[in-house]
Amino acid sequence: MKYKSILFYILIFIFSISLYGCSSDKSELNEINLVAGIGIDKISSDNSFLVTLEIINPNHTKNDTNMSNKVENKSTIQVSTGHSIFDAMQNFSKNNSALLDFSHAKVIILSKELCESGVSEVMDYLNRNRQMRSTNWILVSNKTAKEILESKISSDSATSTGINTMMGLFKKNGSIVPMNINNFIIESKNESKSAFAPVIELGKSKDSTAAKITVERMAIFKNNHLIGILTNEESKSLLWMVDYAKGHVVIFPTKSSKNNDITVNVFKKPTKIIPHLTEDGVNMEIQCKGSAFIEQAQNINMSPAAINSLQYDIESTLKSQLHKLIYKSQKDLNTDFIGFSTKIYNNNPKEWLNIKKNWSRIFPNIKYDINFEINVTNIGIIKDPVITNEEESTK
Amino acid sequence: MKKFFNSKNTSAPIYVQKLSDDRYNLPLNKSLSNNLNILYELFSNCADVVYHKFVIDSIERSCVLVFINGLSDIKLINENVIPSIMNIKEITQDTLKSDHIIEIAKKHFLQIAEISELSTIGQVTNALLNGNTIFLLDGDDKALEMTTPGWKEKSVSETNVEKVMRGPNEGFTQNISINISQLRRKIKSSELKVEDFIVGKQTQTKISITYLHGIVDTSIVEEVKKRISKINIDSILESGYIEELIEDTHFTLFPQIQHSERPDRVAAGILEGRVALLVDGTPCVLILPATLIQFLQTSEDYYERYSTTLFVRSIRLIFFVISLLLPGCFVAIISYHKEMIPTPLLISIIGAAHGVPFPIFIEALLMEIAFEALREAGIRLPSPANQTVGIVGALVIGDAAVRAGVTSPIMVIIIATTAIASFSIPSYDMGYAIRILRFSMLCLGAFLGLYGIMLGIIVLLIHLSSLKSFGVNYLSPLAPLHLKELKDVLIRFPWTHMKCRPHYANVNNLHRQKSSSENIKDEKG
Repeated sequence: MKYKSILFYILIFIFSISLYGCSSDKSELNEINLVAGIGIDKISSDNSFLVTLEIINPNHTKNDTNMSNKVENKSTIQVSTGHSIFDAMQNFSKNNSALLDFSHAKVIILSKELCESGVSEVMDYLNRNRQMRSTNWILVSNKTAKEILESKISSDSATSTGINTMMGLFKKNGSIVPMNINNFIIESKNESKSAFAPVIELGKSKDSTAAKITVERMAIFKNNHLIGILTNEESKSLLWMVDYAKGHVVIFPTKSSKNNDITVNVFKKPTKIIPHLTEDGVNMEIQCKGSAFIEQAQNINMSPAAINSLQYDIESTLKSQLHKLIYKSQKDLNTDFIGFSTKIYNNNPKEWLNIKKNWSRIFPNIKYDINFEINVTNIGIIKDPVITNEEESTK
Repeated sequence: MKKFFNSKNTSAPIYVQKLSDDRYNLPLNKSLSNNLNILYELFSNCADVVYHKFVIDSIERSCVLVFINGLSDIKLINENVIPSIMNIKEITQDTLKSDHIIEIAKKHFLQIAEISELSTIGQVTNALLNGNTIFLLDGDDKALEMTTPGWKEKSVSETNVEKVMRGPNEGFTQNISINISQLRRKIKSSELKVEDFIVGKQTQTKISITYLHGIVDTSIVEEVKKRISKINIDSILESGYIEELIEDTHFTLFPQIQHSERPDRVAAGILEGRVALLVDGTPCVLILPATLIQFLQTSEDYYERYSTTLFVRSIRLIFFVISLLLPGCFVAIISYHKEMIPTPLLISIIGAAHGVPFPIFIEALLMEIAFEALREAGIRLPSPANQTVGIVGALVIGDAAVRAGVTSPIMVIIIATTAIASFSIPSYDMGYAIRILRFSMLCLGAFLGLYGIMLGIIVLLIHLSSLKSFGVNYLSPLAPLHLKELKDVLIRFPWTHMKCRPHYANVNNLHRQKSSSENIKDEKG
């Protein structure tokens, strides 16, 4: 009896050791190549994919005391083509000695042409790949993705890690909404079938030969196709309509009636979008809240009346900007990236079934009402401008 | 407060606290045999109490000298006390019929510096426990206390193994009677029982079990006695022999009996209701039953303020786990779960590991074995040569191996951390167990990844929870859970809140201090 139980335990142990998967996952450190960023282009001539990988070159981190001052290109770029993305990835092994490890990839850059012709297969591949993280940032490039990865961000040795840090900062406070794979897929799947992603632009600057990377605009997708790119201001206004990043910073100058230049920094608080279904149709109520901090001011007399007028100025400026964005969404692009449909679906799921049929007809004519409530806070800490211009104030 | 005043009024403060027991208040009887019977009863099972009976021919009375072996100076008793008592017969013919021969003896005959008369049993026991000799004469209701303390203090030195910052500096010696006297000096109570056994056909080694009667669970004492009586071996040279001969099971790496060289620690164990087992010829005293948690505690935890205990004990626990799992987890994560490491760290690890010829598992194994060899070499060598080993180890393993590309710097860091962690376990026999298990965890991690580590931990926990030490669960008070005892596991509550002894102490006597409300309850009940 005792031997039976001992045998039983031994069998359990042997089974649990021998009958498990993932044993092929083992890899030694010197067998792998860490991929930091992936760029995907579409070659329109033969309908194949051009995949660019930025591979971190760890040999440079080896402690050679004399070499440490010489910060060189820490990453290498490899390119491969294939009929599908997976095919292209497989083709890397033809001229590469090491195993590619995607688990530390941070950034996925899609070229404009690829986005225009549709991203569904790309997103599907990224979602299915076991190593790929769904927290990878998605960016749309205005040129080819290869060019973006080959360019340099001044402070960072690898472009992808630089973009990753940049996106992390944008998430905390920034002018655009960073987008990762997970959120992109969620956005593309919701009722409006529209998504957005930041645009990464490569522009030649005059003073230096190297091209400069800029991220300041948002690209709009509808049904997995790129349909338009918002302007700078519209991209900033988009922050009010989505919840992906909290506490955004929006900086803009206001011209108050007294002709004084003031720059305020507006922190966003969660926005409420409430749909009202009336007999005339759908009416959206948009309630935006935020708090503003004065960053820079000249010749302002901080009286309650002045602050009130300042608040009014900020509110009206923001309102007109948001109007422009919604106008673009409704009339120009006819794409509901601002999320009206999701709100209606969430609040009135039954009625949505009816509205859904005629949505593309209804959407451009939806009436909306924007309410801004901005509080200028922390005024008392530093009240008047540090040095006032006497002449002007006496006038 | 009451106790405080009491102790001030009387000359013997320790005695005052014992007033609760009625037997201590008994006056001495005129009949010697009655007095002796009371003493026998009080000091039952105390083999170190010596009763030297003889008859003084001239006055035809029998008398007894009582003292505790090891506590009293036998040379003084032999050379001064006994001859002067024998002297009584020659000169005191005329006072033969006096009832107070004791007084006359005290005045005229005894050649001892300090003598006092005692009239109650309590005074007698108190005097005995302080190392004094008691002279009882038949027909007298008074006893003489002769100050003859003579325990050997010079041979008692600090232990090298269990160092503390705060606390008594003495350690046990090789002599069992001195060791017992050291315990007696800590616990001045007649309830401290000492029972002797002679084990070993050739060595005839004396071993003593000591415990506090009334606090210890008698079933544990009986079990210990039973197991000792079953021993049939030719030699006992160290308490390790006994430990292995009486432990519950041999199929485990974990020590089931604690050992210590510190009298205060052993005394603390005895006061918690445990049994101490002393073996002649070794300073290592066994304490049983033992639980896993006790191996992670030191006597200092109780001497320092309670707030530091939480910090120190959590550090110890964290490093206990690190010592067991770190190399295994590191190899597992590097081989199978690279995505768990932060990217910059992984990049530097890969960069540092460039050119290392061995797979990471072999690398870790080699380094572990090298470290164990260094440690083993360091223990055996005399201290001057010890430094050489350290320098060679630091240079060869730490620096040259990395420079030569045999191993990566990160592996050196891992092994060094593990080494420090293994030294932070206070008990080194537990350290041995963890060290051996570390190798199996390393293998599991290398072949099965974190899944293997998890398997290993599950098997280990099953094993630990099945272990018992003299009927006490090894993982208690954690499993099975004893909520009251959690006051002394990771944190130690202030003494005012620790009112109970561990659950394995005598069920009828679980309170080590009583709050006033409990006292009232007891009186009513």
